[in-house]
Amino acid sequence: MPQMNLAEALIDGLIWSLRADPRATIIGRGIAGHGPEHAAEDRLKQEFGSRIIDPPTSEAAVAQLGTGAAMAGARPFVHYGTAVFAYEAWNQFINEAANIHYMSNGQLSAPVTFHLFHGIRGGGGPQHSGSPYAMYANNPGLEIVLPTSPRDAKGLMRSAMASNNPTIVIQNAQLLGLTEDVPAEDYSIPFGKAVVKRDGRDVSVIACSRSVIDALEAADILEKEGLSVEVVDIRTLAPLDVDTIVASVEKTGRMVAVDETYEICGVASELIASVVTRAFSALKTQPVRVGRPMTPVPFSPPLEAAVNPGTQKIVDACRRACKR
Amino acid sequence: MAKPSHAERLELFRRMLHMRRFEEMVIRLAQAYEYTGRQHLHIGHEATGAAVAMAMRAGDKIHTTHRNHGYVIACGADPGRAFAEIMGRRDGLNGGKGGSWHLCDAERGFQSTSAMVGGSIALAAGAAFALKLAGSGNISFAHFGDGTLDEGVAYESLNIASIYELPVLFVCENNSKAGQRPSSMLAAARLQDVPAALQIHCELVDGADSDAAQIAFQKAADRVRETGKPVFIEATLERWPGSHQVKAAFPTGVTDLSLALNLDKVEGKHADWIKQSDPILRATRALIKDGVSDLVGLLEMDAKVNLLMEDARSFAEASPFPDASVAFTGVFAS
Amino acid sequence: MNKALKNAGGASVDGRLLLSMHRTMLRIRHFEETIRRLAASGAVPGLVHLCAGQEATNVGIIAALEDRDFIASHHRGHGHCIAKGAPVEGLMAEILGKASGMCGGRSGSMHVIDMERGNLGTNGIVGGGIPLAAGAALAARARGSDDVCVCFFGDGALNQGLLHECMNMAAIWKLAVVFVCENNGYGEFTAIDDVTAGPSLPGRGEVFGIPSEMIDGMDVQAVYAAARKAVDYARAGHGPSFIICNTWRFGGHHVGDKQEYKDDEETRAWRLRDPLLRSAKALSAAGIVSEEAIAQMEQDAISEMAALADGVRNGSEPAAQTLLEHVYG
Ligand SMILES: Cc1ncc(C[n+]2csc(CCOP(=O)(O)OP(=O)(O)O)c2C)c(N)n1
Ligand SMILES: Cc1ncc(C[n+]2csc(CCOP(=O)(O)OP(=O)(O)O)c2C)c(N)n1
Ligand SMILES: [Mg+2]
Ligand SMILES: [Mg+2]
Repeated sequence: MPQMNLAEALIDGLIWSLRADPRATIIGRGIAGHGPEHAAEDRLKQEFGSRIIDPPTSEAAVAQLGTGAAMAGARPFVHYGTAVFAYEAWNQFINEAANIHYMSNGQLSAPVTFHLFHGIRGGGGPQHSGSPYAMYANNPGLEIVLPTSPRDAKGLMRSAMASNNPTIVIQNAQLLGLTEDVPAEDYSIPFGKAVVKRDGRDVSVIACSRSVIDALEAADILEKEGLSVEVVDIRTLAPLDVDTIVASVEKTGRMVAVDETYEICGVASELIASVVTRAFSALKTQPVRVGRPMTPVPFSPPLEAAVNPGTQKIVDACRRACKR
Repeated sequence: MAKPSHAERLELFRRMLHMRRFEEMVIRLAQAYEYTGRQHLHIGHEATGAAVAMAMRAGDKIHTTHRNHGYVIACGADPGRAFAEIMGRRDGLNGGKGGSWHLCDAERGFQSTSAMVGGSIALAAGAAFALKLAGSGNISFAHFGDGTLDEGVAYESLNIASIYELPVLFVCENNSKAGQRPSSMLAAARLQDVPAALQIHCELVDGADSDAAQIAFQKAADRVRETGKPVFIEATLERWPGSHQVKAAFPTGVTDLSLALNLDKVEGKHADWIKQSDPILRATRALIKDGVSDLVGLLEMDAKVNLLMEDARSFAEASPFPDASVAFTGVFAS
Repeated sequence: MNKALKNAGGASVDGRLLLSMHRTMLRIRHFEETIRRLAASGAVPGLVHLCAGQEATNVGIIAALEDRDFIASHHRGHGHCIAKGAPVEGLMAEILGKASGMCGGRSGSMHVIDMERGNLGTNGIVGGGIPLAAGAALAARARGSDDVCVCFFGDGALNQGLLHECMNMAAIWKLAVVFVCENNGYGEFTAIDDVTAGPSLPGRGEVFGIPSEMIDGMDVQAVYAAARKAVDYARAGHGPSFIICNTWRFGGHHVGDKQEYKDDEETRAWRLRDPLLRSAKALSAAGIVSEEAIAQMEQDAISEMAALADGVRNGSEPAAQTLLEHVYG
């Protein structure tokens, strides 16, 4: 099995998608970012250069170009780079792509994939550190995919490109370098299936995106203190696999929800609500929420670190949930 | 291009009558059911809409705006299902989920209607992109009002259509009128200056002149098919006095074809619009003058259309409201 | 290839003004060089976009403004800040995220705001400064003032719908805005011609009846002359103008970009058009100052900037306790 970093795996998933479906097309460049992993994109350019276009800086029209093309039978993959640039296309994501299947009563669908890099990335400052997926999740009709490992990235990308719905594949740019063995052949991973990344007895940490990696680190630290932490990666925010989450919390009796979006109306809030409204009695202690505090992301490194819901905050939250 | 044949001119007129009588029925339904709401009627735009629809071929796609009813009908959608949709009924074109603003008949290439000013132009560029990729030779049509050119997304879409040579025919219905509240505030002296600055071929047509429109849109569509590049047509229109009505009404009365030969009898506040700007009366006169038909022949056609609309209305009225459970289905495609 | 490299011809300005513009350009050049070194050594968090090569457009435009006038800048904006009078130490500290930075380390290179000097800020969003400038001009009108507002943006912003919307509004309402496109031929790694339709760039402004011209952005005198005209026009209440300055960034899109997408010949040709060489030549040809004095000015700029680096680098970091300050006013 070859080793791939997350960027390479993502590109591999795209390549398989383009091989499988002649309607698939790519709008955008810099799909593997502009960091050290950017070269992963070369394979895609070599094999499918003629199916890639490099659009102007016109985010709104580019979103709509992808949506309109999808409605007319193409399978566009639209890359935005930094997620915040897609704020310019808010209407196009929400009002057009997400609504069209429903409001046409199933006559049309918009199988477009939007690809974004989100999150605190080191010096992004207030305008380049946004994580908009909680806002997207507040709208029906969009599928939201948050890969955290190379294997998942490949398989989930494949499902995104095959999906008949507008799908947002959004990942923390800092994960692009993560490396592991990835099957060379074509495979896909279905949406709506959370995965238990680490078994534990005392507390369930339910997380997504970057926070999964932080949670695994926190679990290592806590193991040394004798706390056994289970880590669940939701993988897709929409659809959300509430069953797996609830099963985990029923097993451990304690819950920490952690995610990089803002605490208020954020993903962690939704995760807690989904457990409390379904399995309140399974909880032995009050659930703990870890998210971004309600402040813009500041530029300076010490300030930036203070808003990042990283490993230490998860460790503290687990201790609190377990009353340590 | 040669002048259209008699048969083609009659077909255009037939579609125009369908459009007009449909909208008049929408007014009556609004009055009867008191769902006055905001209907954006296509009255006065029929020559343009019908000419566009006739330039479409099987496999072409069209995206429209809030002022969409005429186009749906001109493209051949079932008027009964269209009424039912506007009334939110189960048998509506969208099962009641879309309403007036989102009528959709994908089978006829009538893609979604976007109620967002600027929505249709960008989606149509996308459709053209897909059609170009598919290599089918089909083209896409973007219908929008002058207001769309106030939106940045329109400018972005025109730029993209130009650089990528997308096969799209931009149909701008310019009914902006000084004096009334204008529907756009573009500083450009002429709307076409915007696409022209982006190197898109532009044409201007009197959108209420059915013959001119029929020729212009056919020619433009041919040009898009031949060159694979976008064309922009500005169709000038005199805004119908009822185009922004909140309370359903017939400000220019129910259309009477025989007035075409008795224009001096027309009086009242909106006499000018009826005499000079009503495309139906203008077409009636032209068809009679050119010997394509006589008045009786046209009245006969009109009577048939009226009957059809009455049947369509009955169909819509008989259709029940959808079951509430349907509200939760169809959010995602399977 | 950069679109139409036509020289607007030898506009000449007053000797004292040329001298002061030359000095400001030198300060910008060496400020950027200092930042480049700091970034290469890892002292600058995040990405940083330098404007070396574009000094004439920064300085020539802003020289036509009064102190009370406004500018809105973009991600490549250090030069605009300096030309508008920002304290270089505070600017450098901000770029390094220090407590003594102009925005307390909250904003970094891409969001430096300096309201004291009418600088609405550098901006991380392509086209983001354009509506801010139009808004500032509207506010000036509301206060009954004839303040002018310049917005700078790159060629990449030419295809943003916001530009079209704002040009339209500025034209309808005759706002005192000067739209300045610093056309350096590339938006990130994409050549302007690949994404920008139309027979002429000024045509995009002319559509709205906005006086529009394309000039040599490497010639500070030509830039100043165009700006003088546009600013006077705006101040007199006639409305907006559009100036496209053809220029070149000598560095990459950001520090670390290897610029493989650029043609070496082209780069060399542009290098020879260095705005600093050009104005130095004009100064000495007109006998305004001696060549020794010009060389001395450069040395002064180098030492001014280099002297700041260590102090700024070792400055204190903002305290995490200040995190929640200024979220709301
Ligand atoms: C994005 C957006 N902004 C505002 C509106 C409200 N609105 C509906 S119709 C209309 C005027 C549109 O004018 P025009 O495009 O010329 O079409 P007309 O109604 O004149 O046919 C506006 C502003 C909207 N639907 N969408
Ligand atoms: C809305 C938005 N989209 C994309 C970006 C990413 N981006 C940063 S700089 C840049 C290119 C800008 O090019 P240009 O305007 O020509 O300025 P230059 O860098 O050449 O000075 C892009 C696309 C952004 N910052 N904002
Ligand atoms: Mg209009
Ligand atoms: Mg540029």
